Amino acid sequence: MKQMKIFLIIVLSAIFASANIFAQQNNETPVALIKKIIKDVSYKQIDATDWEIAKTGDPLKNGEQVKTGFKSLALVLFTDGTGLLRVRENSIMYIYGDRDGKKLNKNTFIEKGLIGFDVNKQDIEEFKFTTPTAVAAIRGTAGYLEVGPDSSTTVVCDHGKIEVQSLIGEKKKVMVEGGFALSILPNGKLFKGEMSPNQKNKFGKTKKSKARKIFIETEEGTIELEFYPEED
Amino acid sequence: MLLKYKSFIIMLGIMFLILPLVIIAQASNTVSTISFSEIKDRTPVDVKVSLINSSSISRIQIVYKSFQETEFRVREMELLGDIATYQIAAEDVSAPMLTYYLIIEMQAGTQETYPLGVPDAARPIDLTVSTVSEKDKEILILSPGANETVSLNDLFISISLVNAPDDVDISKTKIILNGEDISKNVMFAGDLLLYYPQNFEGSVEGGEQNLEIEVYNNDGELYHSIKRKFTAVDAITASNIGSGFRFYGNVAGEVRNEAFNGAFTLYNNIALSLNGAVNDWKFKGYGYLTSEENTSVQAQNRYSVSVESSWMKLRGGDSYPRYNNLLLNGKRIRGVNGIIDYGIFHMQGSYGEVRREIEGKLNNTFSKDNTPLQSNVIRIDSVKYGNPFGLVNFGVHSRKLLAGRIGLGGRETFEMGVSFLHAKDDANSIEFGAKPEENLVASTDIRLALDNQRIIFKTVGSMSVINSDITSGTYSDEQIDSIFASGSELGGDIESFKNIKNIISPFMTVNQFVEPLNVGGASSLATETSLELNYFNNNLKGSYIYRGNQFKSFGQEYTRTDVAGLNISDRFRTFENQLFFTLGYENLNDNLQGTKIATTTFQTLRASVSLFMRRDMPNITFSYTNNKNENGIEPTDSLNKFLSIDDITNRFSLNLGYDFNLKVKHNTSLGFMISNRDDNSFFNNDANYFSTSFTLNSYWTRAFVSNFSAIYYNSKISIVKYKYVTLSLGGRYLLLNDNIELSLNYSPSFGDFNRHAIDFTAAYQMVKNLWIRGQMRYYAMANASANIISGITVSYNF
Repeated sequence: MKQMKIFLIIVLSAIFASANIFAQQNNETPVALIKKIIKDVSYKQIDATDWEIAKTGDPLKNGEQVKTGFKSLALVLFTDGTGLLRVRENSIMYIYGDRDGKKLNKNTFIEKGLIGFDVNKQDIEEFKFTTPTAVAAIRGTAGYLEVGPDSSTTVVCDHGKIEVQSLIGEKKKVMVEGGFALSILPNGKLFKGEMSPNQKNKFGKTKKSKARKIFIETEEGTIELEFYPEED
Repeated sequence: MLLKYKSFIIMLGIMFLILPLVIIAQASNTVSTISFSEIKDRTPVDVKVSLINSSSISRIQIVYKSFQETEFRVREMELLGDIATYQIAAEDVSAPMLTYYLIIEMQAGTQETYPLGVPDAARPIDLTVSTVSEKDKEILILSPGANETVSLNDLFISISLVNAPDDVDISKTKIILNGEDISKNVMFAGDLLLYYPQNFEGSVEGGEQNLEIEVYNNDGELYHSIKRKFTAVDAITASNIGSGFRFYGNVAGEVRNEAFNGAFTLYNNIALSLNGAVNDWKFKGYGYLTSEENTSVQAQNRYSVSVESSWMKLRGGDSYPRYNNLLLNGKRIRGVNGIIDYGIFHMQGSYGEVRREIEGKLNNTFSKDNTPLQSNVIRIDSVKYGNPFGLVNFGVHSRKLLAGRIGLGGRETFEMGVSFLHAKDDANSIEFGAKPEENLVASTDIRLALDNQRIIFKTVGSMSVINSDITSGTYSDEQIDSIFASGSELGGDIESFKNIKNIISPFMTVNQFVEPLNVGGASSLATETSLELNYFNNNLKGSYIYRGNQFKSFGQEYTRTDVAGLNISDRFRTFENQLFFTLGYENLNDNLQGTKIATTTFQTLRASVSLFMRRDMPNITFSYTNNKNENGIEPTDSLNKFLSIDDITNRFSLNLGYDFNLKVKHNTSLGFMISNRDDNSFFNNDANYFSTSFTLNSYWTRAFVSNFSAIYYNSKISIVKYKYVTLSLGGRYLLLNDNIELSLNYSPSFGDFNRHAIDFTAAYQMVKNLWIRGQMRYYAMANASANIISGITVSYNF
């Protein structure tokens, strides 16, 4: 009987603790949410070991990750209305948000892949992207960041300004203005120049987020095939 | 404090209601109603005018300006049947006020204004321009986007209140979708609200959706509400969006009868609009055919087709090309208008007919000996008509216009362009007309923006040449020698005239009617230069204008000429964009070419204070304007006293707007305007105006909305007094699942303007997207027969 009581106490404590944790989680405002999904997108909650299939409207809290598969796309909106990220295929990113009063400082870590961004003019908040080789601070800018398999980073600025600091080599700070691009190689070397036609083309494509679907009627019902139009 | 304030508002309302003479709507013989879309700072405003006896109207122009400006812009409205529309560009809409009136030109050649008597016997109307509310920024609808089309499978609603102040109680937030409160099904994640309709089967059906968010404070009072429209479609439709060819459109037919002063006129018209798209290319087609079309008036039918992509636009048929304000802006052209924006390269070209020919009428003929000396007696074909002179009603020559612009750069940093306009009457298009004219204008424009648009420098310069009679064509050098030598007053300018002819004759007709003869005098030059600085919550703008007395562009026929001077204004915002101060000064003068006996100076001082509180308080705008015009001629001057100008006008206005909850949601506005002109010229034309208006809109249920308004107007101009009161009471009611819409409005006016007006509309959706609408307007003017406009419209969206 005593064991039973102990068991009940443990169970009730666990339930209470979970409820408390749940309540706390519900009180925490997500940093972002997934606005749109094409094909294979998953996300991982903080401390979770497995990826979960994402669906539109899923909130993303501080430290959570988003992963896209082959020919896939995720649109991510920040909950303070400051910006939109387009997570292109085969990308992994982490969302971080540090709330300081009404201010939400955002930092997105791009592990690999390509992220297009459209960020409103920031008053006092920070909006940063971090990659294995660079940190980019943004104020009212559109462009994209690409992290290659060798951890090299390319920062492309269509309009506005981006302050980029290399995290390796001489750790220099470089300002990238609208129409320019900066490449940071794995050895820390920086190359800045005007956006190449290829980069302009790639930026244009990052803004496209329409998928195509085919519906096949079968006796068992309608099969929906979604695919992303060929980009290359 | 709040209660005290509420008492004050209620007291103001009661005071207003017990005023012995209460007022309302503006007096007009031609305008039934005029409505505006939401008027917000730097946001385009759609204007829609409903007309009475529209068949008698040939053209409507809207004349408007923002508070910081003193010069009105004159723009032609799109006139289709008994509706005239125009969209005021975002850059022309600036807080705290937009002032406007209408010029209505009648087929008979007369013209009136709305309100009647502007500018001499009435004041233009002031509209409060609200700034983008800080509250709007506090309530973020993250999803769906505005006017977004989204698949039902992917639909979710997300509202972020992370920016809302601490006194907002997020848990009290109401989310209303298509009139139904869905708040109980909403998930709260901190300051983020989420609603997934997939969890509630059948909660959302395909079609247009109306979303409304109401946010409350800790006391349970409405803090702010915002609305959004979006469209939900099934998965198959959604997948087709953005791929392949898709289209939608509308077709509408109307039969309308107007009984006006005892005469009955029946009108029929049909309109078709088609919108299509394939990938990034968009196509539009529009056609409007009306029984009002006939050759004795300007074109009433309208049609256009257009194609556009991200880098080009091409429109054929009726178009309204926009260049700079000195060249061509919004005038209707029947022809073609094309724009290319490819990177830093910009090109625009427009060609077409701006007016068609309307033949005049020969009333009488005269022999050489008994010809009267009248301006409308002209030489006619004596073989054809028996006599060499005839008394005519002048017709109108057809006029074609060609305009173009080439520009380089981008609006973000630096852009410059050169443009031109050439317009010419077809002298042979009619037999009995006034003198055919020709106009050539060259223009350059530069825009430089620095420091992320905080510094903006703009300049536009234009030079014009006009020929006021091209009947005889371009003169040869020999003809110039003979004509100018015989005229002693022009004889000295022969060589310069020849030079002008040699330069511009490839582009336009050159004869003795060309102006200006002396290009060096800058009489045909017009420039506008401005510098705008946006720092420390200030919007400081300084500008200089110069318009020679002979400047003329047929693309902007109402540009004020013979004026030059400086204008400086500043708008300062503080207290988190809740308090605005505006201060402006302008000093202009005329007589630039010394063609007048005296130079008049026009000085204007403007100041305003606007309070747009986030709290539960009214928006308040108080403004003051002082105009002083003076030309130094004494009213006792026996020779020139009729030309004397010496007047000062002081004008005060107070506008209040207040949204509140009293059982249901209401919004109100209350405005007062007082103006006093002290005329010390010979004419002693003193003028006093006082007007006040009150409106109340009440949202009793989602289906029932009522409106009440009252206007009082009292003026005394010289010794003429004019006073009236107009009341208006009405409402709109939806029933049978919104498939029937009824609206009724009764508006009586008393005093010197005596009219009773009733507007009734009933609309029924017979099947999905197919509406039949009946409308009846009744107007009874004092000492005149009742006028009734009745019509039926059938429309279908596809």
